[in-house]
Amino acid sequence: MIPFGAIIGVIVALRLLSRNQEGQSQQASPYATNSSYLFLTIVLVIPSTLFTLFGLLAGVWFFAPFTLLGIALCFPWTVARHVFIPLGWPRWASRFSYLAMMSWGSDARGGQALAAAWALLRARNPSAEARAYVEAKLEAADSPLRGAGIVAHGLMAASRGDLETARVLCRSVSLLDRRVAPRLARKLALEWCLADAAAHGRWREVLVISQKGSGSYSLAAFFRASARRLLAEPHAGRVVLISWWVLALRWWATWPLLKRAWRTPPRRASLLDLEAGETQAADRLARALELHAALARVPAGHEALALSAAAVAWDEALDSSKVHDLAAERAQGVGPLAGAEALDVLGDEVAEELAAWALAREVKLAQLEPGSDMVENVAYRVRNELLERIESAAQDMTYRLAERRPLPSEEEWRHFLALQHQCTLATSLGGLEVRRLAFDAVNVPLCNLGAWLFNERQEKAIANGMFRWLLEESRDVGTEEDCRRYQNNVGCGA
Amino acid sequence: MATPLYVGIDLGTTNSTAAAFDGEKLTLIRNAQGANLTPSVVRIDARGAVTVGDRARRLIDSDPQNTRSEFKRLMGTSQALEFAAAKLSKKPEELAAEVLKSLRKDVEQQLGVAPTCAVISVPALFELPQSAATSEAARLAGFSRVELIQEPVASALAAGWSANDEGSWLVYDLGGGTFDVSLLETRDGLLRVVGHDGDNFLGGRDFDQAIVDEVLAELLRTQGVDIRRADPRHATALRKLKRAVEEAKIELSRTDELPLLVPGAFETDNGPVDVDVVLTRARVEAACAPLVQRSINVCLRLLAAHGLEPSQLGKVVLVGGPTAMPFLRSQVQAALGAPFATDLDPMTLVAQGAALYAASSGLDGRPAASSAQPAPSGRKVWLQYPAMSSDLSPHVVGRLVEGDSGPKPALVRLVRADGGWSSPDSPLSAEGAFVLSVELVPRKPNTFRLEGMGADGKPVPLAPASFTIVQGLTLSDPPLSRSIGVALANNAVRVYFERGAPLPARRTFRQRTVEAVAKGSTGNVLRIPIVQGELEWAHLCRLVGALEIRGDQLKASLPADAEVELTLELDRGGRLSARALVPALGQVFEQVAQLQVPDATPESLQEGLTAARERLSMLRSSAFRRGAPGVVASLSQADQALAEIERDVEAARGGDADAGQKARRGLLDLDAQLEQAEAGLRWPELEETVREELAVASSWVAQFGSPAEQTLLDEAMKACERARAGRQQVELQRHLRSVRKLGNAAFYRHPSAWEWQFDSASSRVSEASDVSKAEELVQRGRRALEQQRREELRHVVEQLWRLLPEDAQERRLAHDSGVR
Amino acid sequence: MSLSEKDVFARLKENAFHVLGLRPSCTRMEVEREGQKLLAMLELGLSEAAHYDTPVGRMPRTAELVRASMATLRDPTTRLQHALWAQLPPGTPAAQVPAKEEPASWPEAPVRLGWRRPG
Ligand SMILES: Nc1ncnc2c1ncn2[C@@H]1O[C@H](COP(=O)(O)OP(=O)(O)OP(=O)(O)O)[C@@H](O)[C@H]1O
Ligand SMILES: [Mg+2]
Repeated sequence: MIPFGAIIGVIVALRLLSRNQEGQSQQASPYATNSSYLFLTIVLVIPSTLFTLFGLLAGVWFFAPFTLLGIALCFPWTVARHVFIPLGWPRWASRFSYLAMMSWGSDARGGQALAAAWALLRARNPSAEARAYVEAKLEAADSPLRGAGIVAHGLMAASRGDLETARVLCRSVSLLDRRVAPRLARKLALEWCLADAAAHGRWREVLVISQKGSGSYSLAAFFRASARRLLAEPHAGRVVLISWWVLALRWWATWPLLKRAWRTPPRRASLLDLEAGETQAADRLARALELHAALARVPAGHEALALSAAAVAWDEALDSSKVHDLAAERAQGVGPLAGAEALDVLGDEVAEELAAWALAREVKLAQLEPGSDMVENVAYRVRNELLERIESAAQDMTYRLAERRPLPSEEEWRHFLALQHQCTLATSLGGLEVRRLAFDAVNVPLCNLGAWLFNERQEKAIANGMFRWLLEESRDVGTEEDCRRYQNNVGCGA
Repeated sequence: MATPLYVGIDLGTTNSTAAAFDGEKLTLIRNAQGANLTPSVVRIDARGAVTVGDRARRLIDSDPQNTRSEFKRLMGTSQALEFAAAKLSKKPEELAAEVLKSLRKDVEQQLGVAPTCAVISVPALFELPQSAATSEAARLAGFSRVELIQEPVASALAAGWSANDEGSWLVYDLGGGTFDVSLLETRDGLLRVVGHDGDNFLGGRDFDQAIVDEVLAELLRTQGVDIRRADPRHATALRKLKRAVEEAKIELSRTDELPLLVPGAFETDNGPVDVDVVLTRARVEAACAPLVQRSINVCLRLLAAHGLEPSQLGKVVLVGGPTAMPFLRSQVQAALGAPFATDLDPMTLVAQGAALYAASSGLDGRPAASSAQPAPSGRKVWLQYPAMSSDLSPHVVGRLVEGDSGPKPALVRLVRADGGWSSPDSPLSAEGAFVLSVELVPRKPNTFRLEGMGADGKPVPLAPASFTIVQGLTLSDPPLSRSIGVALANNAVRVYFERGAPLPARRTFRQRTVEAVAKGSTGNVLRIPIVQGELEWAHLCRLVGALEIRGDQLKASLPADAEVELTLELDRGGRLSARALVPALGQVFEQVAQLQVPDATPESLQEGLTAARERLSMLRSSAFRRGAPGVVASLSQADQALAEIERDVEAARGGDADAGQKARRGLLDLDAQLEQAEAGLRWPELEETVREELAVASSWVAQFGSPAEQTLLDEAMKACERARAGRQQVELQRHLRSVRKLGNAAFYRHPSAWEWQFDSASSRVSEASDVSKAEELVQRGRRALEQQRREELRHVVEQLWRLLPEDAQERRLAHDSGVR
Repeated sequence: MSLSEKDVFARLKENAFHVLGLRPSCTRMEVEREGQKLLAMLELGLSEAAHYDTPVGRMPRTAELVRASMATLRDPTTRLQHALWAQLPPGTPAAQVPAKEEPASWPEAPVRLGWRRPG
């Protein structure tokens, strides 16, 4: 007979023990896996399971349920992942995830929360009570917040329907030190992000995510290969596609994508028919307006070209004497200078609209045609806008730090992410100069935030994530002191 | 058809008037005393009985505790007015409601119908809270629907109605408490408000005050008695004197000289003091001249703002009591040159215009029961047409009311009742609708018959069978007098409605939150302040309301940088509503908190005054240093304004709430003026700083910088030059910061850098927030310096810096806004 | 910070001439007449008045927009500005060119990969 009562008793005892020792063991090695269950598995669960298995083979049917239970206890994550999460049972998913602490490395509590949040996401009509349970698990994972906890918060946001927050959080795991972001958490975050981007048809984002994320290499590579074929990028062959599909081992799940990507013939990017209306619009103003209006239908990837064309047309229109005559004629009765003034205002309005469009479509400024006044004007506005946003956000963070107003850990992280995202966007649109100015604006407040979280609030994992990003920035656009400071800070660990 | 009843009311500071229009002629309403003007004075006696008008006004001297006037100037504030005998306190709008009630009764007396709708005039520069209070007053007085019109627009409408000429007009409206001037233009029978200006705190009252000051100055000169406005002891006596002075002033419009005698007016420590002076016209004119000049300056400013010379004006319309003064007339005439519109009554013009406006917006005052006609028979048609139209061929649109039974017409036709015109037969569209253009006889009510015909050519009765359109000058939508927007966290303003936007209006913009709001916490609030004004910076605009999103209302925490879709809506009566949708949470928030003009306590005013004074003196010294004559000149104007505000603050301390409001207003304007002066100084200052700092930074980086930093600096210097050439101030500051940072980094590599920093910080110890701690730090620093412990020295300096004062916070200024 | 919140093509979409269905050469009286007609039609819910064309597509017409457009065209300065933007008539050929297709999305991805419950 197997003393299951005793086994469970031992588990409970070990659990209590580990709880008592938590403080000390954390000090000893902050990244250590809580190994009590592993120990228990090797010493007790595996032998007893084997024993019942032999018994079963010997024909003692009585052992059958115990064998099943034993196997389940040997592979707790598999059970949670394939049984309780699909069933949408947060409690059980979380319990088995607890047993799977091996998979969660240094963030076992985060792992529990993650499994619970995922199960909630899968639940048909989650009860308020289930929600409260997951919230409680999330709260438990909050101090300190680590990789799996962040993904858990992301999934929770997704279950609320707030996909934007979910995206931000799931993507942010790649900023953390790997020691505090368990591989499983990174993998799940990556898979969620890929599925989400694919579901919304954002194939360009799939490319970026699959490159940045980690934890699930072959699946990411398969998604990338598919996205490249769908976007008709050059050299996106079928061999690569099928190889990664095979290697990714998610054959059933990814079969529709494979089919679709297989079918699409890679086509060469074709230029946009911007010239269509040329013969029609004899006068320059109408032509500029036409190109301007055409921006509403520019496909992704052709933004810079279309914007440059519109800007040049506006330059010509605003300089043309015919247009000046037209404005003067329309301005009759308003005043002698009204026509010219109106054109000046028009120029400003156009620049503003084009800049807003460039910002919305995330046009890279360096790709715009140089030498046009309107292009310069637009680029200036876009840059200014990006920087102003960053500066004002940095300013707000400064105020908050000055007043020492703490936020919950997850929101602290999101506050940082919001700023970091703006900086990345600014850099990607505006290039090195904007990157330098953006870094200058956020350097001090973010450093202070990180230090506050690290020193006083023991949120070392996310603070470390912040310092890692700051280090990367300061290597390119900071002073030597900045580099050294962040190297030190990152060196302090997570 | 019974004649319609369009009612307009001029709710004035001193006098109120009502007028009625029936589509053809204007009638002035007389009150029980047979006068057109009803003084805006309310008295409540010990039994709670309310008296309004002349009878109340006569008691204002003998019973000031129970009689109140000039409450219009407190509209929209929370200031309650006490009635001692009845032990009541009433809000300004409740008192205004009493006046409106009495006017409504007068209309009923004269025309036999108590109107349910009316148009009420308000000063052009009234802000939202004041307009909202006026609408509220009308509601309290029993009007179920009311629209507001700006006084100058009303005057112009009335003036335009009786005259035929086209061109630009100036309406000069100097009332008891407010001065409005409007530039208008009539073309093609359309009246357009080109622009407004004015002064919410300039009127006959201020003339009285100026004369009182003159009298007090004489008392000081001849009898050596110093009476101060701030002394609450003299409040009653001053009020009495003021009334006497006002009467004398009005009298002096006709005579040249008048004795002013108030025996035993003031109680002083040395016994009672008599007032016994002779007021001459010349003396009164001398006292009032600066005020008149001020009003003329406003007119010139308005003309200049629209690129007009006074000579281009076709006509000037004078409105309001003080314009009866011959001296004022001649001054205005001399300054503006244009002829005055004669044969218009300056005292009732506004009410007449309001009545005309009621007609053009179809606000028939007859109660529903009396206007109901014998149940109309025939197929019901829903008609849309302008009740009043300046267009000679407006459109009439109609549609069969669905669900109504009866024979359906196939064709419809409109026939003018005088038989002079009829439309072609027009088939109904698939929706059962028709659009027809009709022809009107100018300046007359035009009645049309609506005739329907079946497919068989037989007439089909329709209801209504006829309707009337009045042809004449119209104004379609009341324009907003000052822009309305949302204050953003960086102290900028996002304008939702521009000045001049037609009401009603609604607009939605997307904002982003600055900070997270945690779910459940009550202390955590996202504030969205709504401001009104034309200035670029939120703190210079008036706060007229705020939408708050509190943590305890949230379904989930609201992260920083979350999107908020904010919709502002304004109705014709100036009522504002706001709605914030948070898409991430799918939640909507609607409560608008606090829609009131803030109280002006003497303490807060004094604070503002001190700050303004300091700022002024700083600006002046910096303007002199830089030799900017334009700025110096504008500062001397600010000086005058400051002096006036000082006087008002003093009066506010003596219990004059109105003067307090005026001072608050003045402070805001002064702030704006100083802001402008500062902006003029900022650019040269910035250029100079850039020059200096570039030199310093490049020398440090050359000595101690790494090659990478050298490249960064070169780039930043180039960018600085670019921004300087393009006069892009923000951009230049940004690059300057970057340069400064690179320079600083290099500077601190100098072995003695921290030593120098320590010296400079320790010299500022007296400014520290905690001086004793700072001194202790300085001691520690000295020791570290002696022992050459660099790291510790650095630590000390950093701690010292933390104790030294920092710059003011922008967000505080921006009404604590939580969005951007 | 003013760029992002503005609707990008607002000046074409909310052009007063387009809203009223008029050309820049129209008279003041036409503006009043057309505006008054549209307001009446909107009030009666006639489908004819429910939309207007712009160079960037068809937009829903509201009474507020019509009133605002009338006010815009009454003021010669703002009218001038709108006239310049309205130089391109709505419904030019460029307006009808459909946007290039983006590759289709894969909406069932989250279900397939186990992130959402099927159905
Ligand atoms: N003949 C006159 N000469 C000089 N001043 C006069 C004369 N008649 C009236 N006033 C002054 O005119 C003022 C009242 O004017 P009016 O009735 O136009 O103001 P109101 O319409 O009540 O005020 P507001 O328009 O500011 O609300 C009082 O200050 C009164 O002293
Ligand atoms: Mg008046």
